[in-house]
Amino acid sequence: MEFKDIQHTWQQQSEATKLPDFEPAKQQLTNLRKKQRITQLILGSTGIILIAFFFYISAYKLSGLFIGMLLMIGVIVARVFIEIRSQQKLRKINVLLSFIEFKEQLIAYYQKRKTLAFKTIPVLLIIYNIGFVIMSYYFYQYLSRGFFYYIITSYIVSFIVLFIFIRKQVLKELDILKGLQEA
Amino acid sequence: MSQQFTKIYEEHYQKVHRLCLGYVNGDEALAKDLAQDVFIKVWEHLDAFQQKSSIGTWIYRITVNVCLLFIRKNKTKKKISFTELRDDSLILEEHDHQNRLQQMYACIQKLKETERIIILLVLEGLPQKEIAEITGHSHQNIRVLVHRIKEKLTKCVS
Repeated sequence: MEFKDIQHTWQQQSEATKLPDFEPAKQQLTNLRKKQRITQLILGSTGIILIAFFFYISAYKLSGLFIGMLLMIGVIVARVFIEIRSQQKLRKINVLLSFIEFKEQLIAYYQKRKTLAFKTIPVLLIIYNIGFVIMSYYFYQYLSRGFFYYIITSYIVSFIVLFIFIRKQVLKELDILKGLQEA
Repeated sequence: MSQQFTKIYEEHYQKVHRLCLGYVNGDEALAKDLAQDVFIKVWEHLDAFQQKSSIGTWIYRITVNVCLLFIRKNKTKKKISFTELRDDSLILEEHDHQNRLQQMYACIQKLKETERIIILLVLEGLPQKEIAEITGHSHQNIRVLVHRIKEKLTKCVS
């Protein structure tokens, strides 16, 4: 078979494809923008409330339990912010660039994600665990043995599940990066 | 802008859809989603179109980038086997045509992503100069690449 025949076969396809209505897509885009604005608003106010709460509480009572909780909540909030910023950066990559430039930007984006996975996230996980260890000291003092062991076991199980999930995500992104670099 | 967009949408949808179809191994549903993503970007950026190139080139540029981005989110691709084709078709010619297309999709999937993008643009009949403009490669480089990929594809399909 000649390349001309291949090209002819190719160009014959999909001529009959019905043109889909674009209105739902426009609506979807408007909804997405609304949702993004709402998310930013919620996150912004949560941040402000958390900071205000910190100053309010710390003025009266700065216990170990509070510090432990603060470390754990702080890590979760930081992680959510990092993830949202990262998604925004991905969406902001300019699709009007040439294919080569666009690919380079994508590679740079996934390299940053790699740094995040191997440097930032481990630090955050360590801080998260420190927070839990501090809190568990108080759990041990004030809670019944049974409930204490229940909390510890639940924490270990949920941490392992979280770790497996993060690992899977990181491996997927490394695979994407490798694919882009080879392309 | 709305009227201008509608005109662009009607004129270019088939070409964009066909390119997307080639990129996602002939998966009709994925290609439709992908084409929709492309036209959302066109809708968003239409004001930025500066007429330095033709509108077709501009749309293809968005299409290839959206394809590259989209495939990152949808790594699992539907594998279409030859047996999925309808055997009860009375039109043998149509059956053969579909079979050839499936074989072409399979061969295109074997190429590297850059090669895949380039050959899809070649199959659409775009001149090499325009392909160079879309991809950002030099014309000379595209000439060499196109020759090499054409050979690969022809060998695989034959």
